[in-house]
Amino acid sequence: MALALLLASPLRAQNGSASEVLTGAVRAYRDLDFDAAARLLRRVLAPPLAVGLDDAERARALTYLGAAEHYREQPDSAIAVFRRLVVLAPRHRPDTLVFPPEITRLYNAVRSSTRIVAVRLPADTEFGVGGKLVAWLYPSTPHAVTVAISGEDGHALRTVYAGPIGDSLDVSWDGRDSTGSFATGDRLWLTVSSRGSRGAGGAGGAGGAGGAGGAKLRVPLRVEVSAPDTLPHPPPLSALLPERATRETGLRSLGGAALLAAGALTLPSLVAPGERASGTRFAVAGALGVSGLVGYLSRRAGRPLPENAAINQTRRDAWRRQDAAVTRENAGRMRAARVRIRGGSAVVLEGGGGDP
Amino acid sequence: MSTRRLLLAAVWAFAAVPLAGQTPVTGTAAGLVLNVRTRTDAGTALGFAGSVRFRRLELQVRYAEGTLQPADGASVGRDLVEGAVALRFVATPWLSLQLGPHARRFDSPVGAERWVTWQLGGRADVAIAGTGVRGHAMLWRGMGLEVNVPPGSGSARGGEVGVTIDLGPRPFWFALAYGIDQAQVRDATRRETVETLTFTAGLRRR
Repeated sequence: MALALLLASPLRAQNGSASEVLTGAVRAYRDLDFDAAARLLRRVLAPPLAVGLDDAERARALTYLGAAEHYREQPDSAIAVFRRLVVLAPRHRPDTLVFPPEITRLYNAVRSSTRIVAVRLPADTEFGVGGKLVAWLYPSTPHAVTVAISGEDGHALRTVYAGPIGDSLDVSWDGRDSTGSFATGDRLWLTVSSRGSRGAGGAGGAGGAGGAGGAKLRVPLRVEVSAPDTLPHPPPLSALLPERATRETGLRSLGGAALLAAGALTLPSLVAPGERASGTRFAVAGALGVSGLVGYLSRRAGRPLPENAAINQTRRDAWRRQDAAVTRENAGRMRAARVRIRGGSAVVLEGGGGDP
Repeated sequence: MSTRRLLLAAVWAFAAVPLAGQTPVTGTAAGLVLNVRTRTDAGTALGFAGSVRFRRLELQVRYAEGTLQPADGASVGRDLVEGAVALRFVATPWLSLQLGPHARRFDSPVGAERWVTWQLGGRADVAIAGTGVRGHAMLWRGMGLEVNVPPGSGSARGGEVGVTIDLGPRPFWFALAYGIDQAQVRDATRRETVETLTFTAGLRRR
């Protein structure tokens, strides 16, 4: 890889002065002039020359700078530089043909104790329902991570993955939050939190890096959803009948029956005043009276009212059917939705080492 | 669109709205026994009744026939045939309005006597013991009365009070009702008052 970087570097250098300074630094390193090499490398890694370097050139410069600091007997500085290199390119390895074993051992120790994950995702992704955004994660060393989608305030909207990561990991996100709704916004984040203590203390000579905690890395996301309007769900049921009798229930039954019985007795005088009515109306008045008494006794306070329970059940069933119909309709409409996600550059928030 | 059509459309739209917990179409079929009494005679009639209900609208039919015997025992008995059709609009679970023709025919050796009236009435239903036992009261007024012998028209009014027992999950129901109506021919002293005690046993399709 380092050989490739060496070959690629002159061709890809867009800024002549940065490339020249880097070339001079490498020459000084090979001439064992580590002080000059370190000075030139720091210069090329700092603005304004750093702007002209791509990630591969920056990784190459950091590798030479870490080695130079080691030979200048500045171990803390060397560790800090290598940690910065790990954060920049977790999968980077110093070329063993160029750097001696003591440098690669030191770098490996720093890498093992620095838990960082690099994220690569498409700059622009568009998908429909069923589609997903896929992000490729590759760690500096195997450890545990939590990958989440966060809102502007940093609050996690959905945890996409929580578990170990080895060589690499693909995580996918369907554009929805934990409630199943589409998460939209200009400033959402894909957050990768490294955790666990694997490798801590195992760095040998890299003691300073061994105690470093896991890093938190965020990738800004801009999520747009174009979806048709959905139907509102029916309001919750409120007008349900009482399913237990109250004191008034029985009295109402008795009162209603008594009123009707009185109506039966007085009906002839109302419809045919002056006529002599037969006694058949007493049969109906008596039946109503007995019914009212039965109603009163069977519907005393606290007794269940099965007829009301049945009506309530019918209403609940109807409400559920209506709600299910709305859910089905909305699901059908949402099938036409399109999600567009644009990802930005990753930002390391904490951990992962500092500047050399 | 004329005012009448608009009115009909509004009534239909309101009638098409189901009451809570109501299945779209229900129906009943029943046999009935009538004890009929007039001022001069009394007797028993047998018949049937049925109804079909769609949401708030219910169509009812009723038919019965029998023989009335004179109270004095000396006169000649007469046959009775009566039938009615009514369209009922259930405004609320406890109040309904109904309209329809009612015909009653008395056959005697001297000829047939027909009384036909259009009844417009209101009915109130009262739950006495849940939905199992219900009572009802109805009052109606004749929109027009036609009598063939002697030819003439007049007025009529009547009412009914009854109790219905529904056997819950089983489709059977029974009812006992007392009714009375009085018809009077205009410009005549003729007046007919009829009392009925009706026992009905039927089946219900929910």
